[in-house]
Amino acid sequence: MSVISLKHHLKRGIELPAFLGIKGDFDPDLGFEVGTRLMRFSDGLLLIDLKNVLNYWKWSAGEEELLPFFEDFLKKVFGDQKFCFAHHPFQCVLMLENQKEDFTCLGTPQGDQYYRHQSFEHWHKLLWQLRAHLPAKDQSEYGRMIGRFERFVERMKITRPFELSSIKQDSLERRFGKWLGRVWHWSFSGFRSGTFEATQGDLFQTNFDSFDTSFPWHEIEKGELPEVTRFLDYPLLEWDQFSDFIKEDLLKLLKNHPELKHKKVSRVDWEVSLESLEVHSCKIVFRNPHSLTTDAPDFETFLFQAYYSYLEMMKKVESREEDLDYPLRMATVGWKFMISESLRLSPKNEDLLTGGVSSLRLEMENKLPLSLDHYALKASFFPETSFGKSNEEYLGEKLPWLMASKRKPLFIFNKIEPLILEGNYKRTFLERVASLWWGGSDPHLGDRDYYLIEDKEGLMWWAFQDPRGGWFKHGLFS
Amino acid sequence: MELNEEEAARLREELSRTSILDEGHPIISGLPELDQFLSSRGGIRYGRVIEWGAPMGRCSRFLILRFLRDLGEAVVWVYGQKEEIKIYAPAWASQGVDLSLFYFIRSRTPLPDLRPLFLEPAFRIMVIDCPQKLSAGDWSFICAKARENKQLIFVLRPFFLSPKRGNPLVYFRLNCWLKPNIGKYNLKFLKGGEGSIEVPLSMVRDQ
Repeated sequence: MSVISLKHHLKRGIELPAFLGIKGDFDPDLGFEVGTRLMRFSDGLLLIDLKNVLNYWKWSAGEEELLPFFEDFLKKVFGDQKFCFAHHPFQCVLMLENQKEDFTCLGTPQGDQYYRHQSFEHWHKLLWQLRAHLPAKDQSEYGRMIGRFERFVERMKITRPFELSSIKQDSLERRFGKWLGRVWHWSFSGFRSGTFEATQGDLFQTNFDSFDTSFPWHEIEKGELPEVTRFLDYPLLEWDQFSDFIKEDLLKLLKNHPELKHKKVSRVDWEVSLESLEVHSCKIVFRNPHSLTTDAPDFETFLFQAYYSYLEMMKKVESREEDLDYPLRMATVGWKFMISESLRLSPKNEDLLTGGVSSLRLEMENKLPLSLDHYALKASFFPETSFGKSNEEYLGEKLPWLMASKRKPLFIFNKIEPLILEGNYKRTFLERVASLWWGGSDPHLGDRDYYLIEDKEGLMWWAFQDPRGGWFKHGLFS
Repeated sequence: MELNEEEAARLREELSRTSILDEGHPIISGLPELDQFLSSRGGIRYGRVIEWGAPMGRCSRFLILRFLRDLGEAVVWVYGQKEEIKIYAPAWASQGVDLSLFYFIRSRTPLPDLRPLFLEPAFRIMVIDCPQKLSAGDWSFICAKARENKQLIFVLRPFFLSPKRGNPLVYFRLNCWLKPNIGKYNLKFLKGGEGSIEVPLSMVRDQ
């Protein structure tokens, strides 16, 4: 009999949260062994943004379940501290304030249950701590608003923030200012209104949206970043001429900074100086942390990403002169590479990150200019909400209604447009889809009758008729 | 000209790398009639490029998926249809595709956009669906790399292929479409052994 761990089992359709909070007594520098973007919220509370390394860790975990893998790995790196995964950094802070367990994760039944029972007492304390991270001009106003909010809560006799979670951000902003409105949004973003009571049913329905990026994220001091500068003897125009110089610079960088052998780079800032003495910034970003040592001496992957980034920058520069009869091509006279984000490999994870990980696929993702999309199914009858970009859970044949999809097209239109039915055509009824009115679903997803329409040229469309009789094309059988 | 030992070893390695003899088992669709028909013409194997005439709206991709769904290998599907479309994942899963093995990229110009995909065998199976334009140089590059990296590449064209213009580099050239009135798929071969075969829709959809 298999046992589902309430702290390790992510609910259906929920991806592993992208933020990690760690609380305790440890060296914050260790955080660079887990992620590349770190923020120190308060003494002993570290926040790590895992968005750009999550894919990498998924590959590292291999067949192992991700959450037990992380729990084990984090304990090896940081020792006995408190860990919490959440969808927003502020949610990490909230959870860790009063966390009794060593390891929690929002999106699991246990994590969500704990989160719902947070009291205002902890919340208030954190509101004051957040003040230190806000812009100086907003701090006094924010302080006043906290006082006003505390009086409001006391008067209303409310003990838990979740009791008020149906209040919208803008309503709160109007009364208590923009920052309290934002905090409110960060805390509950994605939770459906009216489904917060701890009933058995809603344990598997909690859903998070992507978080608001207005959080004042302050990167931890990284000290001196590895960099290399080049002044060219003669200006360069064609990309082919760049590669040898770039390879030379990267070799020099590796030689001057031997610590890069134990690091995987995720972002390099490349400042390009043009003939006009303008300096433009190109960002070389790797989808998965990338080892420069393994890429040496050809630096094939690095050169691909540098090329895409350079092309994009030059397109912008040259577009300014589009209207000229003889637009000038801007030559490059120098540059500076600076490694701004990297993941450190410690002896604890080095063996785990070499060999075991299918590096070929990760490398390929780093070389491509476009992302490799991956899809997973969601438990929904509605075409628009029945799948998402993810690689979390493969529901596959587990969905009982999937058989109905055998008569659905492989591609659907980005935008649903009216279908004008003229002349001879044949239509075959396929299925009726009803909206989830009891779940407060999007009213635009109304009832639909789906048909296979075959026009006079023999083309087959996937179309639906709405209750008002209007016809819309949704897909093309390909 | 005589080769020294090192040069001979290098040549042997190069020849074995690009050899067309070691192609492994043919890739099958699981439809006995069709598989037999194909195997009598050399079969679909790694290292080959197959050009399909598969216009949109004719359901040909359902049949093409039969060759890929049971391979247990990662597949990259590059789609570049001129229509503004996106992948509808449930339909792929219902065709027996393991979504965890299928990767998708939207690109109308896979060459030069996705050149790295062809340079390394990170994905052994690729489908280039409706590329905007492929020049003679592009074809030659794709076919050389498929042979070198032992990749199987399907190139799906959004029109019916014509016998008037050939393609010497691909192994098979065929048109594939569904005849809805008789409920049968029709595969008409233009290269790789002429002839045509009909496959019942019920077999493709329900088996």
